[in-house]
Amino acid sequence: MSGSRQKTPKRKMQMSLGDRIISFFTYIVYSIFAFVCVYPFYYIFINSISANNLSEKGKVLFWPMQVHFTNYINVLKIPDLFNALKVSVARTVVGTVLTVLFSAFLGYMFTRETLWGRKFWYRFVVVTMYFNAGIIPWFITMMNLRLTNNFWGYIWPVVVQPFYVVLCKTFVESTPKELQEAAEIDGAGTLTIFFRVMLPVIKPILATIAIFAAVAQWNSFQDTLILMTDSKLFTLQFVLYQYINQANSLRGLINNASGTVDIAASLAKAQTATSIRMTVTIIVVTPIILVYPIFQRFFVKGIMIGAVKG
Amino acid sequence: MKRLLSILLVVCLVLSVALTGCGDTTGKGAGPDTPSGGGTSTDGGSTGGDRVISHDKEITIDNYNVAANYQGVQSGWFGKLLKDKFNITLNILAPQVAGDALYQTRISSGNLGDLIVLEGSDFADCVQNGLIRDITEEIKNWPNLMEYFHQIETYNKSIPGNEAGKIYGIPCQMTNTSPTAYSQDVIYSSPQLRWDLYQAIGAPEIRDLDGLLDALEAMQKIHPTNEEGEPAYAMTLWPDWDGGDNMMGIANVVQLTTWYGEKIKGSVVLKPDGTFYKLTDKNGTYRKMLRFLYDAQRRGIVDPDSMDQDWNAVYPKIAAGRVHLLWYSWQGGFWNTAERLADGTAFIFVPVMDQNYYADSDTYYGSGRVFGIGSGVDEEKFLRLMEFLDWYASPDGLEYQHIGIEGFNYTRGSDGKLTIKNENALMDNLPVPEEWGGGGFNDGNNAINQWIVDAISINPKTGEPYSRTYWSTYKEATRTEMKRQWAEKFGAEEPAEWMKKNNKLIVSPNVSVTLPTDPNDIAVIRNSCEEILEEYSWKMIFCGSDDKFDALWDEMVAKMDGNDFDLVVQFDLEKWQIELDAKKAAMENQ
Amino acid sequence: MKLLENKRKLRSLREFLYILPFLVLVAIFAYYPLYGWFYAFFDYKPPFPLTWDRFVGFKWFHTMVSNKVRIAQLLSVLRNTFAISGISLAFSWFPMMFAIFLNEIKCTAFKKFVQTVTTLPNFISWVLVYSIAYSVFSSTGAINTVAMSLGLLEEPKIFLASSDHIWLKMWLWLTWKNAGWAAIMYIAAIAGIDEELITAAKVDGASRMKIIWHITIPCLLPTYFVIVMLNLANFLSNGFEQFYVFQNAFNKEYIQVLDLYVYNLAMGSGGYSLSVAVSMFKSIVSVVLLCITNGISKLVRGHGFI
Repeated sequence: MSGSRQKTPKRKMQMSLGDRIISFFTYIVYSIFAFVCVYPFYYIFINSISANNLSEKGKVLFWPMQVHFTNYINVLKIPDLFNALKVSVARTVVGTVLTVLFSAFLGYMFTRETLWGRKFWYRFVVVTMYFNAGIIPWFITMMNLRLTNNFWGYIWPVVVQPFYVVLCKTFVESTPKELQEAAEIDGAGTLTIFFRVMLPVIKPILATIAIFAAVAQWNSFQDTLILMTDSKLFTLQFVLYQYINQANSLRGLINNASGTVDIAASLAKAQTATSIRMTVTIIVVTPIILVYPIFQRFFVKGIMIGAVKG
Repeated sequence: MKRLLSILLVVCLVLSVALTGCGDTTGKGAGPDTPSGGGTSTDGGSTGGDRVISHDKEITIDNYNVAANYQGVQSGWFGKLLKDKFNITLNILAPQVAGDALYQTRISSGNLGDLIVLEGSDFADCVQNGLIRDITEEIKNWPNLMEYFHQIETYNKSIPGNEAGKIYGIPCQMTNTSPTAYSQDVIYSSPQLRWDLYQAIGAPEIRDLDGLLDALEAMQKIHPTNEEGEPAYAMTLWPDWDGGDNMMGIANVVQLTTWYGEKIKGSVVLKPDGTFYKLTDKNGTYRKMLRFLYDAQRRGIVDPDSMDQDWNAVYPKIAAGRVHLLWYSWQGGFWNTAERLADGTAFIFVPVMDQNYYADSDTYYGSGRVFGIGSGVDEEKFLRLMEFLDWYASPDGLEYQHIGIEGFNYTRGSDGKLTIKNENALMDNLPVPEEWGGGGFNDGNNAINQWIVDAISINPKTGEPYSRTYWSTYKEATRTEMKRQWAEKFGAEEPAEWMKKNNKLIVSPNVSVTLPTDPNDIAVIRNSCEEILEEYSWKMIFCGSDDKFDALWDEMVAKMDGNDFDLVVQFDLEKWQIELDAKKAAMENQ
Repeated sequence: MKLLENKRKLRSLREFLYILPFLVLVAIFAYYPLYGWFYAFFDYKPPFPLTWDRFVGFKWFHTMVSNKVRIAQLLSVLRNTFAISGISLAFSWFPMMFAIFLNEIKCTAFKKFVQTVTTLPNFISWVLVYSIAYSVFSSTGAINTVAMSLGLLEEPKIFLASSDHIWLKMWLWLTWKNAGWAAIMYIAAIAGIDEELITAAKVDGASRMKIIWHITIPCLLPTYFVIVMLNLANFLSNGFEQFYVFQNAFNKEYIQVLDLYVYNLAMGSGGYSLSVAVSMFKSIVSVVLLCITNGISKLVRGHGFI
């Protein structure tokens, strides 16, 4: 970690004209792209805090109008929200740590020429990326393994992800061979090499997988829908999905309510599905944005062979 | 790096331990708070026959429910009511939330749930496969359910393979009126116009659809924008509700066919004379109503965004006064506030003289959905469920379901009549006082979202329907100048009354039949044809010339026929004939 | 010598034991449920159990081509799928370039800002993307309002209900949503490049373009190739959500991809067998494509990627 703090020496080299032009265009293009990405998010944010009737009409485009926080307060009023948050955090942390460790280890092992049946087992894992057996056998498998209504039902099915294994293996292969060889001559075993030599070197790809896995865990709610009936195990995403869904259910309501027109009509007025969706998006994305820069620190370079040799 | 790793691992371990731990404690946590509820709950238990059913043990009921749009534990005031009265926790499993996969996976595990709400035809399939418990003997002990025994028995006899007449299911939304009566004031779909605009164009008599378009065009001319200057159109359409409701075709058109006394049943259309014809008949009403929307579009009175908006974009337009024609009865709810009803700017039914309105009668035998009990429940749970269902069908239970909490949602006068209180409780999610459970009223509302007895039924305690808009006190309070003008002009108090008086209402009697579900290959052809039908219907509404309209229609029919549409039509003819025969029998018995 | 060989064998087995638990996980969660492919050969309809009298053989595989209309539909669906997957593949270098030039930015704050915000669209669900698109592009939306007040347009232009350049538009939406996210992998790969190489090149006076061309890109190519190959095998899967929210009668002909088509066709519980049949077919096609691309890679580059 100490490496990241070292300041790279200021470059005094003269930039050529071509470089300057490229640099100029780079800034322009990235600024535009950043704007296109930020604006919709900004749009969602200002709409979530503007009066819902203005927002529904699409009036809120550049700055918030008639600011209020009822949308957020209503979300906070959802019963058991805090418990759902706990479950979400737990599955994200546990799931991410295990996924990263397992993917890294498998990715590394599949580069070991000495591994028995290396190619076969690698392919055995990779092809599953394209398997889709259908929901019923999956559910029955989970049920037989007692993973329905069980926290580990969120974890075990997703900890070995072929795509991450492939990413790791590719990364490990790009590291200089001498690293491992040197360690082996020193008499280090397979596991020692992995923990002592490889893990520090492949930090960037670990951070990448961690981001992917964490976001996948954090955003997932389909598994809750099917696997969990115990409300103690509901996740934040599930609870919020449910909240959106209720706001969106007018159609279902009036389809079976020809006899209760007045109820449908009065409920209809309470609908602000889009505002709710926007509020939920902000709530869900904010933690990700806050955590993301922490991962970015692992993308720094300059701690390669030199750092390891030293 | 190693330190970081070990920290992460420790965190991970601690969390997992904490989680399994907290799972246990919270599991018990629900128990300890029973004293408050448990104390009140033991009001001696209620009786089914001569037994006393104890409420000492807390039970959780898994409710697989196609009507619910919420998955999870019933909370709030209704949750507290169930807890106090029956010591029951209701856990709802909602395929509307979780999707078809929930049905497929739970069926494959052999247990749908304890209390089950299904569509009638799926219910029959489940009975045949032993997923539903036989309640023939037990139901006799429950007086409130026995009130509806005739309807329950009729329904159960219609389940294929149950000629012996065993009782499995209890239909939803039965009424205590009659299978041929129409008790509501308005019908589901009819043309509704802004009363002030209609007056402003001289309140012309509207003879037919062209007359309606003339009137709408005139209205758009004098009122091209709303008060805020946003463009207003005679009509606005939305594609995201297409399909479903047992009717093929785009949602905005299928409802309009009822204006000419016809009703789309799947791929066929039922005529008032009791015969069916194919939906894609060139002289049929589906095409006629498509043509109506096309003509409107050609006159420039259809919102140009109709194609790319969804319902979430439409209702703000209605609420902002940017639409001049509504056709669902509930749509008025977005605009018709008390003030607008008072100053005469609200939407109300205006008859088109050549029209004949189709309406389904009171759901005497039920709406088509059914309550049942899962075959996996044990004896104790079974009795407690029956006790719950009996209460659910009782006047006491129904007042909670259809009105709310006495003292909060309504008061009872000395004459026994009810008066509404906190009218906006549902809409504004008003906070419920702690004594009844706290929380928002809507949040804590009955999440089963389905009733054994319909709100239009007569409440024996008051002699009026449960639905509050039919109370004498409510009618008294909502008589406005506009209503008076309307009544004067048309010579009737309510739209349905006008239709009945003028012989313009075709009431289709309610019957209890179990119709077959689509075999898989029919289902696939149906989906496929539905896709073609929807795509071309929209293209036709928005095409540029009559020739193009006709050409598109022919192309569509050719495509659908080439895609084995006739197999679906054949299947539907046989399927709906069952219902039609029952309806004819019901009419004759009348 | 023999001792050494035994030691080697022992080590090779020991290493296998290390990965065995993970292989078991894969076997349980990915291979075992494949018995569910049986459903593709039955006329399965819940709640009726799967019995042999419901065996229908390859019926559901035939369904897609059972009559002329279906064949025509399938062809147009495949055309759309190929077009959209093809455009994505043709531009698959975009996230890589995005990462490379992002890395060239000297101002760290700006770089981090761009890197963070370009991942934002990935978290906005397609449904919400559409409602934003609607508020920007509808007849009373931002673009039409601005263009009309500036006098650029006489009448509101309908953007969403039109099939003009629909494939390109879909690709733009997808790129907007995914590019920043996919770039993370390349940013990681760039961080893995040996700094010494670059320093040496700089000392030799190489320009930035030269360094990118001769060092950065070659170092990223292995990752790039692997990702392209994996995507290639997924050629038939575009997902359906994006196209589901953007579809309407006027663009349906060009927007309906295989996943959306099957979703529409197999709606309701009666479609389970059909959807299993299609996903089985897709799985097999993917694995075959994977083998083919791997073979080509062996021929061209001298080594496969799996």
